[in-house]
Amino acid sequence: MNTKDKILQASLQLFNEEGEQAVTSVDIANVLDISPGNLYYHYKGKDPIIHQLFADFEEEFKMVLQAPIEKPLELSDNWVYFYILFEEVADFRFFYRNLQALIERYSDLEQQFRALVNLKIKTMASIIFDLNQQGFIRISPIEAAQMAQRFAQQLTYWPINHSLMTPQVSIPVSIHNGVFSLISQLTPYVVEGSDEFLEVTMQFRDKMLKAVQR
Amino acid sequence: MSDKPKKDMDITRKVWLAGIGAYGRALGDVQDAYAKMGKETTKVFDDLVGRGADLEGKVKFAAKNSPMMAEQTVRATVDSVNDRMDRMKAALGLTEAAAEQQDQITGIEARLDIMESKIDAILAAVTPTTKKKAAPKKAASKKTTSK
Repeated sequence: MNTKDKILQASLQLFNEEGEQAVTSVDIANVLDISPGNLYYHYKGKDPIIHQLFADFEEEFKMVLQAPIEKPLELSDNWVYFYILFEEVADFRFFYRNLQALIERYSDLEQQFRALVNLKIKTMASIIFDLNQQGFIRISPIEAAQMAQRFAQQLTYWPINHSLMTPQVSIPVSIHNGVFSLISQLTPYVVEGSDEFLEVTMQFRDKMLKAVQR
Repeated sequence: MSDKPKKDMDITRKVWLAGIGAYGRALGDVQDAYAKMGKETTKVFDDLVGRGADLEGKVKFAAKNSPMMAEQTVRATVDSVNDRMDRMKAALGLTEAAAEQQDQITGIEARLDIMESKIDAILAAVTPTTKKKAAPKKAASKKTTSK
């Protein structure tokens, strides 16, 4: 890994652990055991680091969010996919936790971030639409639209909720709770006789609990 | 009865296309459109469906016109997300290999439990005197505490 990538990786880790505002570019250089001058040669301060981190995050997240829009997921894959979405947010949680402050300071990122949330809504709508189409759930268009919004909101704001309400809980457990919360919101819409859906859900919940507690 | 789900699907598909068309519009507007649909004209809705279908077509057209770019991006996307799905499944113990491993662990645990109880039984049989000695001690200590 080259120095530029190392700087990005160390910055992301520090931001996530300490909060972006508490970290200076000198801190980043210290962690990497390089001189502040060396860091400055690659990135002229924290601003370009944050922009680069956001660009990388955005590219990856967009790719992930696009997948179910392009091709419907298998029933059991939906839950695994939710997990990946939450994990994606967790990787970049410093930004989500400090959303308002960071958007005010880096105003050019506001529009891009909003576009990303819009894509989340679209992805969630696509998943709900496919489940309806496949006959596992029966949901009205209005409810589906609202649920997609709610799912996207939960996905976007869970880091804030986590640090405010359940800071003692580990990130993986918090992700698990988030995924399970989404799934349980779908269960009232399960079509009667669609045992496959419930079976997959229960099986997934049990295995997930085991995996998380390990 | 049988064509009711089909009709529902059709409606959902149309809403889906309408959603693409209405993207960026306030949700309230769309909901109003839904609410009015039954009574009034479905013009707004149809318009959105049209725009959605149009956009869908345009996306497909754009993809066709730059086959190198579009196909590669799509394939890279699906592959990479599939890889992640596989890794996540393994981490969650949802793959067959992971499930087998879990079964093996449960099997070993069960056998360990049996072995443990057997060892306990053997130990109890081998050292009967220590137990007998321990019993009066307990009784004695009870007496002292009750005083």
